[in-house]
Amino acid sequence: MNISWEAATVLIGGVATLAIYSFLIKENPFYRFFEHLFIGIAAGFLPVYTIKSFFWPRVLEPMLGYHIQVYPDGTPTAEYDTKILFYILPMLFGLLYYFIYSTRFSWLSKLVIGFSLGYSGGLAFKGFFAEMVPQLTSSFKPLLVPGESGMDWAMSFQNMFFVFTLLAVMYYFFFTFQRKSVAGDGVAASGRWLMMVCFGAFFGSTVMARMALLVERLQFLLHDWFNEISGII
Amino acid sequence: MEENYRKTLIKILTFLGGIYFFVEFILPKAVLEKIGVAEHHSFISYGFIVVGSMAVGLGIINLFMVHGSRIIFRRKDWFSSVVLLVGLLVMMFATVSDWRSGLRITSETRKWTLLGEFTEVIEKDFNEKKEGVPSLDVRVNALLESIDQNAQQTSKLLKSKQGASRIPKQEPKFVLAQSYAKQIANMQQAVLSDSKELEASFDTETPDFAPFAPLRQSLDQLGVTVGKFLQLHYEYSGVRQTYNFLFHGLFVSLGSAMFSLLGVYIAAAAFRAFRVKTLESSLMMIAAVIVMLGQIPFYVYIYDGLPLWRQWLLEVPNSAAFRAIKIGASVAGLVMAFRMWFSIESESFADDTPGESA
Repeated sequence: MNISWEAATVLIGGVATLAIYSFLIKENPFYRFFEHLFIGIAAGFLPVYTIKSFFWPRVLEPMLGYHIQVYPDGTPTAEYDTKILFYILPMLFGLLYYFIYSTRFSWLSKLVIGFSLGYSGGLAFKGFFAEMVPQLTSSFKPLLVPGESGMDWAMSFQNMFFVFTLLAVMYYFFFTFQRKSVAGDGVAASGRWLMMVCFGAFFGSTVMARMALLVERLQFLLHDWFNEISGII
Repeated sequence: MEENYRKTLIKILTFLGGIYFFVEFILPKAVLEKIGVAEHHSFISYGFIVVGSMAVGLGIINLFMVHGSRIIFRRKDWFSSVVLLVGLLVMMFATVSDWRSGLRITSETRKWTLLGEFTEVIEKDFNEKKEGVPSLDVRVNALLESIDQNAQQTSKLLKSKQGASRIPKQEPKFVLAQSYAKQIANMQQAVLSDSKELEASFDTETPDFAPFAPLRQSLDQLGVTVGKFLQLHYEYSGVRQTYNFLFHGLFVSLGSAMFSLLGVYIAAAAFRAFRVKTLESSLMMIAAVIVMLGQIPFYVYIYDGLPLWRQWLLEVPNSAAFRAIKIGASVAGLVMAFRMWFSIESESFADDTPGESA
């Protein structure tokens, strides 16, 4: 019996899928085997992918001058940019991470972890204003929308509802002052109800996204995998 | 004294880590351009990523420490640890091999496109009267010699690849590979005859660069076709098929199966724990049902307008409420970022004592 690599890939895909679904019955060695294999493969793939997609083309290749080729007359395609050698400093600094394994010098790893926390904090400012300010401004939609003949009441109501939902939900989380008025309580309560609608919609979307994956897997099992199996049998 | 020194150093570095992006954000673009930061921003940003990417080995070392010790001391589930580490090593090896093979194909393609680029450089340098480069006749001769050498090497490569081809003859890709091989042979002939013509007619005293443009185009096309031919053969090589087996057969299948399994658990947990007893739970239930039913083709048997309802729910109340939550969370995140940056949040992190183990 001669099985091609393509067929073997489909076959192992089906076996792996069934192994994961066997967890629905109960935890078992078949499931555990493929679960650990998945973790191992993911852990093996991602570091190489990081090096391949970032570290090699952006840092190591230009640092080693491998991106420079030589034309037939011996002239180089580009000049070596010595600026790239500055990356040796962050590389050496990044190596301090590995002092985490030393009992005596583990504090050195905290220097680089602290630095990383710091730059995450600095980046968060930029991220906040770059992401939230456009969202904030676009949230305050016009409450009255003119249509071709008079007002577009449907769109106006939709915008009013949008702005009300936004303010009501924000008001629900506003605890700086104690809410004493009936109107305030009403707005906060409607904020809670609208949040429930939001959570329900989220729940529905999440379940459907997972179900789409389940359907894809079942189609794979019943079509591709079954065809390969029946071909072999 | 020593402790204070370390603590201060950690705090200073934490602050320095954040200052660049903060200053880069608050300063106007014109100022950044004036002081030269705008020009080097991506270079500096990559420097920060380099620091973080150096930690890539930590995870692998940890995995080896945890699972290696489990295997050595034959602790519970040691066989699972063997599977994990073998999977890790095999995948690493396969990914590196796939990457190296990709680089080899690129280098073969580049052999020809480099010559195409070289014709352009010769013409440009001559027109600009660039100094410090070899004379025109030396450059043209070098170009023509390289074309001959490349043609010999590519012919050998074609023969070796066709001789050791693993593409099944019944597959359409076999015909495609043969077609590429023919195209390459024809293109090589054309390039060689063009180069011979150039050798005969090119006068370095009164150079005419008109034949360079079609030659450059032919060289580029030849490079691209060689790349396609090699890529096609590579798709059927042992390295690529092992990589596909691990990536598509295991990694993708297992990932999809894991995530879809979670879908089953979410639905099962909701069925077991969710009770419609209050207004809030009813609203949540109704919204979820509309969104789910509006996404499946079955909706036509219930109510035609369900997809529209679903869309409205997602675009208006869901979007507005989520945005409100996100704005609140982002403000909190901003405060947290401040606290982290000024080492207020991570006071105990900086408070290190000598000899403390990791």
